[in-house]
Amino acid sequence: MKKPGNGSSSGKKGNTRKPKSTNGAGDSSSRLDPAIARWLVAAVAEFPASRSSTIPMLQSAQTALGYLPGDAMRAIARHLGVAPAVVEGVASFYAQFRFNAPGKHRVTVCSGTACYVRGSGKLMEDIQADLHIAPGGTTADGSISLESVSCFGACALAPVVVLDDKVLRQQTSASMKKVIQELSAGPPKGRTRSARSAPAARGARK
Amino acid sequence: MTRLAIRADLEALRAQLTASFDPHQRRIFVCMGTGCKACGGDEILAGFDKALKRAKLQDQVEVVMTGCRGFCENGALVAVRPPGTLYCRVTASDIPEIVEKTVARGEVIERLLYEMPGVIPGVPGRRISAEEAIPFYQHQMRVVLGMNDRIDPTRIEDYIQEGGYAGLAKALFDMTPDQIVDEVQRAGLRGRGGGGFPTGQKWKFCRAAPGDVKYVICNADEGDPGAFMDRSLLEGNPHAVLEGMAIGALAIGSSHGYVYIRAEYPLAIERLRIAIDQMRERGLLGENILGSGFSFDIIIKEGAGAFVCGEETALIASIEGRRGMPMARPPFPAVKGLFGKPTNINNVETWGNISHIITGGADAYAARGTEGSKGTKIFSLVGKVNNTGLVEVPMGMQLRQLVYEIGGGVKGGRALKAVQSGGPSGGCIPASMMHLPIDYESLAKAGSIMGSGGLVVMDETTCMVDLARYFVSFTEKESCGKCAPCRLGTRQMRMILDDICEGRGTEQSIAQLESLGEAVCKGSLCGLGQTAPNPVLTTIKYFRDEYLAHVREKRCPAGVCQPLFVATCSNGCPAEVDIPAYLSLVAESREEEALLSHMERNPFPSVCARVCPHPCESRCRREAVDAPVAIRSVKRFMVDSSPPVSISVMERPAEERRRTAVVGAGPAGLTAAYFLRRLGHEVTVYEAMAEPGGMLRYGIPSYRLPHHELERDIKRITDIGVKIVCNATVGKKLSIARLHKDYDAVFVGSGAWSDVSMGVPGEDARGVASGIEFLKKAAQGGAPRLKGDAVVVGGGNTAMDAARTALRLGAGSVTVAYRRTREEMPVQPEEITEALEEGVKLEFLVAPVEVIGDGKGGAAALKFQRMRMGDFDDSGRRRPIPIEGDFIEIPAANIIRAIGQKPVIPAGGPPVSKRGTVNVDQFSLATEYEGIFAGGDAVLGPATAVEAIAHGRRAAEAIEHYLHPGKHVHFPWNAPRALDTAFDPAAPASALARRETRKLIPIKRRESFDEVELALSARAARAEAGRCLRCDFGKTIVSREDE
Repeated sequence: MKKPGNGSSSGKKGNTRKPKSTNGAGDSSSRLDPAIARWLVAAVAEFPASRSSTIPMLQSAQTALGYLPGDAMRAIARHLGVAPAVVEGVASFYAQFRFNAPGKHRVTVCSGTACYVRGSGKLMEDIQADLHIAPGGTTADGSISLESVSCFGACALAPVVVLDDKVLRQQTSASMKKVIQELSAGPPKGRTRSARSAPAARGARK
Repeated sequence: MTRLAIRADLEALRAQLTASFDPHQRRIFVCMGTGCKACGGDEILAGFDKALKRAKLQDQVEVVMTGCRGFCENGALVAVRPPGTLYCRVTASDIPEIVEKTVARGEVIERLLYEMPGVIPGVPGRRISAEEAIPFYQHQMRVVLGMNDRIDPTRIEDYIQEGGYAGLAKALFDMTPDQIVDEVQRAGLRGRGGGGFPTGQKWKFCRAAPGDVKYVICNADEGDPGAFMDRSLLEGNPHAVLEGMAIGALAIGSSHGYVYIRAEYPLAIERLRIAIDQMRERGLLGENILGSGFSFDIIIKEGAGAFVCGEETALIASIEGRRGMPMARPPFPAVKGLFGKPTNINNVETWGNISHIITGGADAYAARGTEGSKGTKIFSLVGKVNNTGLVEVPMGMQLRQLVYEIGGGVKGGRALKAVQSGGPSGGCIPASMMHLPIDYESLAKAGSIMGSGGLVVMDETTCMVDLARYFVSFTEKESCGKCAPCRLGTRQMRMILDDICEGRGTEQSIAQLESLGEAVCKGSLCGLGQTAPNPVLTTIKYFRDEYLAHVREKRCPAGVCQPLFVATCSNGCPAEVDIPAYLSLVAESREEEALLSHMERNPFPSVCARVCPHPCESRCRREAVDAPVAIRSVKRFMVDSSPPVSISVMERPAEERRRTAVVGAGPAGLTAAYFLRRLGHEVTVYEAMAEPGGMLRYGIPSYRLPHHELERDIKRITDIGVKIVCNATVGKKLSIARLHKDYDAVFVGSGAWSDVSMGVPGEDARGVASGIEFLKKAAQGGAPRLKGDAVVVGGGNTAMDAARTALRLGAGSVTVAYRRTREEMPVQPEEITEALEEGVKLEFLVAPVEVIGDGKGGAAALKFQRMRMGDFDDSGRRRPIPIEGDFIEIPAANIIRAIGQKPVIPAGGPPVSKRGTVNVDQFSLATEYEGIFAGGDAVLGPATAVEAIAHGRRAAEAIEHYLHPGKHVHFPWNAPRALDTAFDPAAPASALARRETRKLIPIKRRESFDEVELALSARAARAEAGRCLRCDFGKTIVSREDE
């Protein structure tokens, strides 16, 4: 099970999140993107070259770079002395990792049970309609990425949306429409029925 | 921070902290859990510092940030102690007032106190000042969470002052490792992460495993959606968990610990980091702890978002830097775990219990809980419950106590449907099993599991099929893919559930789900797959009817599965009237078309416009904006102002036309007759009374439903050729057997005319009457004027109707006596209001015990036993309990009992249940006698008109299928929707407020039987109809005609 190279082909079905392959371009660190190079210097110093550093290094790269460029993963593989596929295989397994640059703002809708029972399913649909993107996508202007998470553990505030790192409690389609409007700093592209018919936001104090 | 080199240093520090602590000093505790932070906790914390400085109180008052107090929905929470006042939903703007009034002068600010959920619309609930008096806290037993609300989680001193690390010191110096293991084993602690494996035993295995390097791991990968106890404990009291880990490491012989925590919990990670750093600085972590020679250190590992990593072997793989895939056991981690070494993994809450066991002793610990489940358990109580949050209760508490007493009942006073426990691995426990004690065994027996402690409360608007789909799609996504049963099985199950939710399911689909579910349980490698089918299997087990409604009728009773209904209002209407259609037609002044649309589902528009309890309005989505559309008032205008309409009858060849008979000309019978006639059949309705209408005529007083309005509805039915024979009692001369012989099919729609006696001495006195008989006489015009006072016993519609009728018939004073309280009264709230306006008195919490005679054979008074409200029953209502020796007498010459009604089934009719209702197949309404169908009160017991009407149409459709088996006729009322009203989805919604109808002034009402409710004007009605948000717009729904 530890055979390197098996990583990304086995396991999780539906390789929808498969990292982009860049065919070995940028193999040498001299041609690395400066941001990646900067991160790499610090990371190599911080993390020991043991396989248990894989996930912490991936997390550190994503924190620094916003996502996981192929070059960063290959750099991790070199540092750990394993095949790049091993690192990619681990990365593609976990929901936390992104392989595309995220938008300026991240809107994360909680789809945990408590949120779902209180209408996060419909909320997600309406946000998708407003942004014209599916979960995992980023708006064409690169301003907003939409994501879903299985539970934030803020269940008593359901339904919860996390905007960047701020937890927004008891959201409705209408209140999210406002949030999105403010983020994209301009009127939304098209008004949609679903959001119009949705209940308006109520004050935090009921 | 000075290092604590020996045990005495720890005790000295504690003594010093205690000595310098002034319990009388006023402190402000600001909750800084994730929930309250989301509500502005940071600003509030900073705000207090500033406001205190401004008031020059900063030296006398301390501001303490605490961890999560669990009452998250009311955040941000601020407590001021003394006196112990808890403020809810505090915002930064409230701070000056709190400082000025409460902090400086000890005054309580009423508006910031917790408000009990109001049960009666418009009546606010009681406000409570003291923290411990709030029911949410009152019934809890906070042991593990005990310190959360009074210590600052970023200050190790707070923890030490409260007795922290005494357990570790005791374990280090007073106990041997074997004694520690023994103590934990004797305490009976079981794993809190879900499995419930005895913790002591687990430790014993790991201790016994050979090897010099061993690991302890804290599993904080709280992946169960809907659960957040681990997060709150780590945020609020990280030291409790870390102390437990140190004790465990000592017992097992390990010197390396890991906390594997979800990356989604940034605040918990931060608090853990701070706690670990402080432990190191104090010498409670690292080399030679407290000079004992024991060394131990802890590393934090952040998870990366994979639910399966909650499984121990997958978690180990993840720490090792691999894909988080489980491995077959044995070898168990206790023998071969992290990096191949013996490893002990426990959940956060389990670790949080350890120090309590060591300091308090196993016996004291085991005194709480049940035989097989010891101690307390933390639950996250969420979903459709009033008080959502984190609660800790002793094992064995009944579910209903948790939901109703602590949780404050279901939101909006709706009916509880089920409680889901154990997350995606657990199951749904139906409302009928709320007496279940919460412990490992009872939950397993019910088909669910304790899991990590998520309890999601669901009401009638949660669809159980959709919920099962939700959980399975979750496990499908989270399945690691290693073994086929889980990877493919969850996918297949999800696809079948998609079919059912989208109207493509058949009964075969349900059977497939069951067999597939069993296969996945048996065939999967790890706990994720083995338990993944639980939500599906338990919902099928307890809510099969809901599945059947989806597959047989393409109907989603909860109004969730979008392709199965037009709009939630229509879905909430038992008769499924297309409400957005007629509202939008009225808005365009097209009343005639609106009425015709209504007639496609319900032939009693006049009646329903007056007496329907309008379940549609409680499902109206406009409620979230301001208030629901006044649907019933618009209907009233529609039917009052529409010209007469003509209804077409299907042309059918003679050989397809059949003869059908209907027993009872009430709402069920006449509706069945109307729809059967529209299908071209001959229909004869037999009615025992002199006039048709049944309960609508004789049971509902004319001030609510004028007879001429009822007759308008009946005329539309007779106009299409339905024959009504009055004064013809079925079951006497005209037997059911005869009808059965003479007609091709029979529908029994008799009403609930038989009343239930009080069963008290003296009930046969003159002046004691049955409510329904009293109303019948009054409707026939045969009731005499009443002399003296009247008392009506009961709390339902009949009781309220009888009371208001008695008032109109001249009774002096009229009192309605009910054994529960106003909140439990089944009658519509607006009727209580109207009755009160007219002068009816209400007496609550009394149960009749004796009719006191006047010595001349008449009644003089009714004696009542006073009651009080006791515990909750499964339905969520408190049970009334007699107060010994406390009686009252209400003088009254007229005593009317209205405490229950039963259907009257014609002699020789189809078999009935113990409750006296006809046994039917709930979908076809076919009775046990072939060719005889039944519906309305005969099947339901006393129910509403609209429910009877719904049965009438259902029966007519079933009778058609029975008369022409295998031959499919398209029901004209199910024709595809062709609505051409204008609607601009981009335009802003109407900003108008809900228009209420006006009522006759109370003085005028008492003098006559004139209708009390007045109609809206044309302008008001059209404007009101225009408030509809048109949830139906652009929606296509599944046709029910496809077989």
